[in-house]
Amino acid sequence: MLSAITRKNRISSRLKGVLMSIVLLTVTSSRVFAAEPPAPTSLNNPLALTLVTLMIILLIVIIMLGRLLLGLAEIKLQKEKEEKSNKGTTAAMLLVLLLSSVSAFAQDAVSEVPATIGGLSAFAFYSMMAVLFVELLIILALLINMKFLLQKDKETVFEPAFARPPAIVAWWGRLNKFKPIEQEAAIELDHEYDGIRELDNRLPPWWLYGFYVTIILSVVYLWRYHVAYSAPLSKEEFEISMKEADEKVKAYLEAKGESVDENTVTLLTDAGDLAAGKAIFNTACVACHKADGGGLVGPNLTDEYWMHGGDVKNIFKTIKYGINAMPQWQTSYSNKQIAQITGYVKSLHGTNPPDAKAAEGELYKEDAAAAGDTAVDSVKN
Amino acid sequence: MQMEKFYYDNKIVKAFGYATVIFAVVGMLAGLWAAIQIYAPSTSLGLAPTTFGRIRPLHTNAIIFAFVGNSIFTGVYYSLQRLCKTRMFSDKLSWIHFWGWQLIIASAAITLLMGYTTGKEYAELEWPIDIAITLVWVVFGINMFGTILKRRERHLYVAIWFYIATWVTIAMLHIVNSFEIPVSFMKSYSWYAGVQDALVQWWYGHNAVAFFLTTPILGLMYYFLPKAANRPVYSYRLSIIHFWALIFLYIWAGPHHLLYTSLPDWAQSLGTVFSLMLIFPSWGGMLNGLFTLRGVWDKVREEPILKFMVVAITCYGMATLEGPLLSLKNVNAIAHFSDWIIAHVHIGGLGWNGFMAFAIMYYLIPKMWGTTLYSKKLANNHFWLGTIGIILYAVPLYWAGFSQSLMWKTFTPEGQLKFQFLETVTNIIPMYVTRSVGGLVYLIGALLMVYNLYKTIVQGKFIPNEEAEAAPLQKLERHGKEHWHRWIERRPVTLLVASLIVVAIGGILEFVPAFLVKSNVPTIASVKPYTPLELQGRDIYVREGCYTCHSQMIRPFRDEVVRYGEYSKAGEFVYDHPFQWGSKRTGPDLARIGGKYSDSWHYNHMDDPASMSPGSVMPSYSWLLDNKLDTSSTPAKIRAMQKLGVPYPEGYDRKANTDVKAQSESIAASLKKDKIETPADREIIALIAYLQRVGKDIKQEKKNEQTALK
Repeated sequence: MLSAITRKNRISSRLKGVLMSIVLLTVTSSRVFAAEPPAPTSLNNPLALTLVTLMIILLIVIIMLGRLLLGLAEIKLQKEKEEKSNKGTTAAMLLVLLLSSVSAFAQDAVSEVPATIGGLSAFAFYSMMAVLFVELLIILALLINMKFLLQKDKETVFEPAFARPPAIVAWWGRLNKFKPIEQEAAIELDHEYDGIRELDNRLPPWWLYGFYVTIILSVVYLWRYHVAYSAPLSKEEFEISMKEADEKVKAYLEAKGESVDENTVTLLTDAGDLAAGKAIFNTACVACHKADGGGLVGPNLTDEYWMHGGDVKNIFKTIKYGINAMPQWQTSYSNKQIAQITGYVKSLHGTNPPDAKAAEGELYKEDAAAAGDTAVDSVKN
Repeated sequence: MQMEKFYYDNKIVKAFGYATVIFAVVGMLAGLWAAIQIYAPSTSLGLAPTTFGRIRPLHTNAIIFAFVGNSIFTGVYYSLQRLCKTRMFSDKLSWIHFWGWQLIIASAAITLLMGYTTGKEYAELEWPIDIAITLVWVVFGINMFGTILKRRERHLYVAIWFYIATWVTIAMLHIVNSFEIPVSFMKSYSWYAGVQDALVQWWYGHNAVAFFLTTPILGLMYYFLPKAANRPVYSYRLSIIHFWALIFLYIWAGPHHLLYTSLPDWAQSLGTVFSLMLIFPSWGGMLNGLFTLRGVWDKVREEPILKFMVVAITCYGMATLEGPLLSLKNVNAIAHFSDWIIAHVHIGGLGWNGFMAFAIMYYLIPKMWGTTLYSKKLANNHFWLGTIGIILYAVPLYWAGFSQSLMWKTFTPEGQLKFQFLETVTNIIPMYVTRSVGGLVYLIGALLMVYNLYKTIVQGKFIPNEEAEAAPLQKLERHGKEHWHRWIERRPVTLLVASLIVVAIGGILEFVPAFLVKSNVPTIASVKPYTPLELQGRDIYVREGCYTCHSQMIRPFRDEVVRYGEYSKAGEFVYDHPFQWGSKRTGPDLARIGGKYSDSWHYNHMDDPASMSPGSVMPSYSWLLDNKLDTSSTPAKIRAMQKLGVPYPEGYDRKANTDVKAQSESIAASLKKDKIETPADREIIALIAYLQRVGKDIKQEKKNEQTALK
């Protein structure tokens, strides 16, 4: 018959084995991302993130339950010694058996998952699911064992109902390994400072293991970003997101069939378009060009002189990309909207508002434009 | 054993206590004013000294160094004497410390309002004051260590470990971050530039929070909480582990203020992981505090002092969990530059620092006046007002930060930004209003405390020298096995040195590579030093505290690149002494403002921001239009920059003002074209010169590349 100490050691070494294999699994599965193209995108995958988070949470649960179970087993064994009974030993043996089979299963999981399914996340997904499944199994096993131990306790220990603390309090006490206040004298240190005494309570287990987990996570983090390069650094992340966004916008515009740009834009004269153009003009353009287009900080838009070309395409380009002091508006308004603004601006021509700014730029005549374009060719720089 | 009789010095505690209460009110008023200015810019009164850019540093400095600083000294001077069973080492040093510190505060208030600032957050004070702080801090250190060395208690209690670590770390942080080259009596340039300046500054900024707002307060908690609750401290070994882990890990975490910036990725990652590892050491302090209250929770229901402490410690726990979460890149991407961060720090500031300071005041004052608190009911009311104030303050700001940040990032399906920057600001103005109401409620609570303490003082009689008795220090007798850590608790100097080593490691391992490895800041050939006029303009930018609302750091995100332009590169900031990346965007980023608007736009915008962007909450800076630029400082500034390695040609300091004149006139001419008549020698001209330059060099680089390709 094994002594309580060795039994405890064996259980905890089993537990450690399980934990190690889970950590290894986490790390190796992340290496898989690196091996397969297009690697970094899968990390943005919310599913992958959720799974990893779940894995970590379950891991913490396992650690906690493991601690709790060890504690329970210890109490049980203590009690048995007193009662000279054999029942508990069987339970502890059973526990050892169960845990060992589980940990063997966890190790198998790595090699058994097929890597043949196409797509980068298939292998990762299944191995992660396997880890999760194993973790759930372990938790289940731990729970069954715990229930088993606790049931036996209930039968043997008689307590008057009123003295038992509420379950949540008891659970909280166990979670923190609280020493009952009445027994505090045993852990009080033999000194005091200005009347302040100190106890030497054990570290709350969840605190200690939580600390260990953050350290492990930190190592994994650094490993992934700076050794395995399996997670994208800021700049890569940026490029990926830009590419994704471009594709999305392109697909949207194609689907919608609205693809006007500076090469295809024509003068809009429809009242609805002009009204829409005017509305934007009144929020975005008035600060520099004045509400009537007479010009203030920016040039007069109602005369025949244009700094960057006065035909529809050039005005469209000037608004879209900006030039010198003129800001670009492509980030704020769609091409359609810019075409509407262009239409409105053209409609201001010849309105001769009061206090208008003096003419700037080159003369542009509507009819002459048909013959030869005086446009400035490169607006964007 | 012959007992020795001695007297605790309560007078110095009283002085620091009064200062605490006064600066609590002053600092909070400044904060309230700043909060109101955000949605009602006209409350800046149109005067330079009372504008947000100067009131905000006044608020942060007053709260951190005047209110919390004095509350730390109050608690330390009270508890240290009692924990060492001796009077302070030297009354004279105590009073030099007290008056020195108050003088520093007074000069800080005056100089900050006058616009003398280094432009580095929480380290804004100019070099003469930096030196004064160093001297006073040394005086405090000598006095504290003298007291410890003449103690009648063999071992140092955990509170004192925290005091020692605080002292030595703050000394290190302050000295390293304040390396600056004086230009004139009240003007200096940071020794470091750009990325390196940012790294040093946030190493300092983060650890000012750690070692000025956290560790000393934890020390105070270890004294005042068990005293007030009359319970033994929960766990000695938890104290040991969380103390050493906390001070070792904290120092590394600074770079989490710079995630997604031009700081090298390795440094950012260190910031993230060390923040993550900080969760549990921080919580160790919370647990040791809260678990000490085991068995006396019924008392907490009655005793306002304990109530304040419980909420304070809980806020500490929440803030130290939130901090590491904010250090995760995906959370930081949303939270940084937004009001979320402001909410986060105020959970710590109002909850942890404020409530601990109040609890200590409620504990000390009746004790030192030999009486009981005038009104427990008032103190309870204060507690509730304070708590409601915190909630009213923080919840709207969390909401504001989150919603504004998401608005920044929203695109239309066509690929355009959905919201103009200004729309995202006006959208959260109701939240700003609510937040200031929260601040007001909290302030009213503090005023109740002032009244309550006043009445307590009136009804009691002050005990200037409190009698005490203790045996002299005996020869050490070992009986039985002792904890290994007891060894260092007998050796204050060893403890001091060990703490210094532990806190120095993180800084050294981050700084040395960042300064020595060239690849961390790749050079960009087209980045040139500022012209003298731009340099003068930059100093105006710093003086007016523009960095309190505007960042100069475009992060590599789609929305920022579309909104502001190409993301910022490390090599762009090599001549920036100090860096001006900022930490909050109440206004848009300015890293690529150069060339975006016309000179006349800037001129009108500075005079009346709402005329150029209707609805803007930026205050008017009309004095810049009238103030004459002081060009007499130009040669000294150029020489200082040359000493810092900025490659101006030899002897350029003598020619610089000629260039100032030429550039000013060309800007005045460009303004004239837009019907703005102004003399060329005004400050606005220099500021426009600077703004038109910011972030433009890299565009030049692009052009050069293109011509090379052709």
